[in-house]
Amino acid sequence: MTPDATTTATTRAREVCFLIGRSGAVLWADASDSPSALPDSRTRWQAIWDHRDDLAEIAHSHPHGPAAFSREDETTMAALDSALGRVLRYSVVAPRAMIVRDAGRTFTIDDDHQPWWAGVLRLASGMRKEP
Amino acid sequence: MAVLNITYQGQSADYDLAIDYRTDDADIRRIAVEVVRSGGVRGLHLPDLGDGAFDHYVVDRLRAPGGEERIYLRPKVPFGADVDPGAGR
Repeated sequence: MTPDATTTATTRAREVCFLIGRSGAVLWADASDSPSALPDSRTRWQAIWDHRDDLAEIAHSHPHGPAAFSREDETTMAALDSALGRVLRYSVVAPRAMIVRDAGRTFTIDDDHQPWWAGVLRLASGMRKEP
Repeated sequence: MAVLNITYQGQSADYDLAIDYRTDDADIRRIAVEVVRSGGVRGLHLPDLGDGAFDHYVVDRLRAPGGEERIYLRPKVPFGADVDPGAGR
């Protein structure tokens, strides 16, 4: 079967960003056209600022891995924490693992304890969970 | 004359800036450090603010419908997957 445009669009690997609220709800989301970059966006910043009172976590995907924070991620997280005046929780969802930075500590969330939206983030990013 | 908006430590505040709207980004960051140190921005007075406080900030220049020129200094927000080759997938 030849994939149609819809299939291609939903399965192509791309980085996706979710803003997560204190209740665990997804407050806002956006996506890039690349599996290895989510470019700077004034719209994303405005969403972060508008949701700042309820914002608990910023998650993004690395569809081709790795399960680690990049140099770009590290400097963005530092800039956001200084702008918001508090240390946010951040996470990266990759094919084999989900990692979290919380209160300065980085750790892996095992499969049984990943939040409900981790699967949605993988799906939106065009990746499958790998063992 | 432009309005410089700075977002820092949970505050977002305006400062009337007597400089050209097209002043380069590095100069905007330096000026922002000075005005925050001096208390020129309402709600943001940090005399010991470090020189590099806005190193990971970006500058947006927007013109309001009425013609007002506004310069926004805000944190950068890109994410990327380029990490050490040895990191786990």
